[in-house]
Amino acid sequence: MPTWLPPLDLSHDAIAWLWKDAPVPAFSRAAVAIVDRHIWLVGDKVLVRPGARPQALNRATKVIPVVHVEIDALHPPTSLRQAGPIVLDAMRSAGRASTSGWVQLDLEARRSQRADYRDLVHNIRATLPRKLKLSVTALAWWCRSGPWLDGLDADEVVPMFFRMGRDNAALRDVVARQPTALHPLCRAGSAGFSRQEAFPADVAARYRRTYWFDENAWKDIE
Amino acid sequence: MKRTLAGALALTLLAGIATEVGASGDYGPSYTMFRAWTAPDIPLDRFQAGDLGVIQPGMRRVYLYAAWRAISLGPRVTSAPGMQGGLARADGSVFGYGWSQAADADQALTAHLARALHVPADDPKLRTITACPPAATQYAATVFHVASGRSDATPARLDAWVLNQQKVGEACQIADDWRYRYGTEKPVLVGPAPLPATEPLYWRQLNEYQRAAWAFQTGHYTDSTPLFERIGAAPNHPMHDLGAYLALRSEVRRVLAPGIKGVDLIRREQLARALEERGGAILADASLAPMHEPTRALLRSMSVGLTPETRLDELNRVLDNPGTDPFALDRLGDWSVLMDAVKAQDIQGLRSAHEFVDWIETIRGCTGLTSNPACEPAGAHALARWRQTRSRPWLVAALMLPQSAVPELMQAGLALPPSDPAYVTVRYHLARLNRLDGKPLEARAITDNVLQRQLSPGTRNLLRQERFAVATSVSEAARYLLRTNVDYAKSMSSIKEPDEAVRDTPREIMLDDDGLAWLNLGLAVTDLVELARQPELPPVLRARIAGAAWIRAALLDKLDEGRQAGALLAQLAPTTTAAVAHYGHTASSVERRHIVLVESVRVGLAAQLTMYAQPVAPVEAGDATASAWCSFKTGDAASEPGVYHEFKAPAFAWRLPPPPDTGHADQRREELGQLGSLKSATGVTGDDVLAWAASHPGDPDLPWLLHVVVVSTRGGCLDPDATTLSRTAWSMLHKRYAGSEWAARTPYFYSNK
Repeated sequence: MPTWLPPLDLSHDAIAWLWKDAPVPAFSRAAVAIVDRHIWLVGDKVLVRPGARPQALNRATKVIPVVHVEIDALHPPTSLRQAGPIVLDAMRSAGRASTSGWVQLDLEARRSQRADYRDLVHNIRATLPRKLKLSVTALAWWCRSGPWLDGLDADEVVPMFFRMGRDNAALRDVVARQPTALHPLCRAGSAGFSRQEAFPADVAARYRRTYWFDENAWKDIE
Repeated sequence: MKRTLAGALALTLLAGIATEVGASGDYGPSYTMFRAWTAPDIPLDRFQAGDLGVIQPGMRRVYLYAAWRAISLGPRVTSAPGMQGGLARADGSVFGYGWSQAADADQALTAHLARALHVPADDPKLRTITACPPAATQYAATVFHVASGRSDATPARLDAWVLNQQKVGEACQIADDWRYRYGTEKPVLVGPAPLPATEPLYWRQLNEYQRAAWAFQTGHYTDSTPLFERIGAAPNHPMHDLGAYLALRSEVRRVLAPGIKGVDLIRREQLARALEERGGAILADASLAPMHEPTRALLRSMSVGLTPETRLDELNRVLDNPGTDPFALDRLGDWSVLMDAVKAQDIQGLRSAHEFVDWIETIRGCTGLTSNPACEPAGAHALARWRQTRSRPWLVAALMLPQSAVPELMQAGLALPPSDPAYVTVRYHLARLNRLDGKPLEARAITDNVLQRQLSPGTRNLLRQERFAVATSVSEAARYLLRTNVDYAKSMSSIKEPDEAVRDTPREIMLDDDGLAWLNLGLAVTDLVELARQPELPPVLRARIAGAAWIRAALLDKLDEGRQAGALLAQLAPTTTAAVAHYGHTASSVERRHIVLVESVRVGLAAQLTMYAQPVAPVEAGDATASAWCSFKTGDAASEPGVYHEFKAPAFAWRLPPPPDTGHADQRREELGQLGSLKSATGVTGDDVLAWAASHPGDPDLPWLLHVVVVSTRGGCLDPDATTLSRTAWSMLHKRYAGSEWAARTPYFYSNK
């Protein structure tokens, strides 16, 4: 398994995505992104469930609360509009919990939901206080499609360069060797990587802020 | 992020069926897509009664316990399955795994609140009225409607109730925020004020309940408990029936709120006894019968939270006896929750003390996607335990874990009667071990026999994998080639009216890695043609196979096979009839290849199969690309970026068996050697189109073909000269066909430096 981890030189911000009681890796002690609000869209239903009680964190560690909206693979909703109020509630709640000044929306919208997704991001931005920054994750293939990201009403877009579906090999190649073929928002700024699908170090080094996913929930590095 | 919400959720299953190429998901067939890896795909009532299929080491402990119990009891488990619906309670599925539908706001209540707050109807503040759990929100709406219908419901009284209810909702919202707080201090909140004594009793009672609920939600349990007690003690109170139960709940929360760390067990047991006494009073009151079951559940939950070590010890002792009903009193569900919290270093002690824990942990220790060094010692332990005990559970474990057959085990496995709950699991592993031992005849006989039974999709897939691996001919392998997507099949069984997308998914229509490796790397063109003729395969797949054979034949300049493949393709996909006819009448091999390459672009044919065959149909001209293959390279070259990965024989018990060695092996190797030297489809097609443009400048398709070449170089599998190709095709398009539609639709060429 590749075990490359972000360097500890703090030349750029490296932030771990954490679930539940995952330990905080050393490189991420300045800030962590905690996925603790879950919404599940199944057909017409908007399902919620309480998240896990958060672990005690070092006071110096800033938290970016993440709202994860899952779209059921078998029975996706025809529209994201019905879920709008619930997602807005969750984002507002996340905003109240943030100690970093940031909140993040993690929603892997389908092609047919693009307009709804962009409206939702706009509405979230409008409902959050201006001083709170909105980060959104993005599927890697959105980086090859201007209509997804042009003018998206978010303060940060985090393309996720891992588990990229059937085009994984081709997209990895583009990310590694042809970054100019990516949407400008995906070339610098922020990006998400997986510890299990590491790129050469110079790829992550292009970004001011990187987010890190670990299939093993960081349990083997403490 | 690509994290599963729960193990049971299928998040990667669209990889093959999604129409959104490039959508997220694990790449390639999912490890668990074709097997019931974490949970059975057999109805849970049947599973707990001994219909186990092939049990998997990735299954949650609740399922492995149910399997251990059934295997221990043997055939008599069918008459002693335990409480009906017990396993569905234990695994949480009956409760939707904790998911609930967010409550809709009651429109009349929300409208009243908007008026009382003097805010517009879409003000976010109004959402607080739904911030409490859905049941509480619905209850509040019911109370509102009942109260509104009373003759003494003045606007002022209703306003007061609605505003107080909003405070309760706000308390729920704040309580929810507190769950996720990171170092922030609790805000100061002001709760509902009591109504003056001059108000009618009914309205004061509603107010009392709101104050109790507010105190409970904000964690002021010393206030909420006595308020709920008073409600329970007042026979004429509208919420009388709930009072005692909610007071108990408030006390449980109060006791658990500080956490149990540092509180010694004796003290905690004292607290638990006091709460049990309080609960006992409710259970002794026949007038509170509707609250008896919630009370029992609350007490069990309290016991898990307050004295987990005592409760786990008690449950381990009960569950050690397979004759006891593990589902009664939520024993198995509680045990599962408690076991999840046991630290790894403490598991060993439990394994030594309890046989069933040892069995479950032995099996669970041997999981993973790749070779797991833990499997060998786990297998040795299982074998040693079987030799000591000669018990059926250890026989199953000892057969599951190793990679080679042990004669005495094989013999014991063969002796198991078909009525035994372990029968299918054991037979599957007997087939697997016979295959690994180089005994395909025995493996075939075993799988053929078990496949006669009524099996779940996941179980059937596993046996078909084994049967496929020992097939001796193309036609025989074809009968076991296809698999069912287990997640789709489970979903189908859970919905009454399947939608169009999943209607035919319970059928065996998909290809797993073994089938893909066989189709793409394991067959010569002539074998592909034979396979495309097999009537038991779906026509859509046969057309795709014929198309792959046709492209390969053209690339290899094999006219006879090309004509046969083309004829099949035209028959199965009539849209290709004209191109196939043209191909058949063309004498030049260069021209034939051009015809095939253009047709592959026009209707999206591919030289390599994917896990789900889509019908062959014309692609919208502007969306067409030259993507019929990526690379045919194998061996070391397969690790290059963008190269089709060579299928490697699995070295791990839970991975797929390798595909069968069938057909014309020498021919296949020779063909793959030639195909492996080719560029990608973009490169081959691009070179072909440029050459064609030189030799056939009047071809009316050329502007479109040049456009296709340019857009194909935008990404995907590309060759080192892709930039040159892109620029050359673009230049030709714009020089030669400057005014054409396709020149206008091709503003750029692509640089891939």
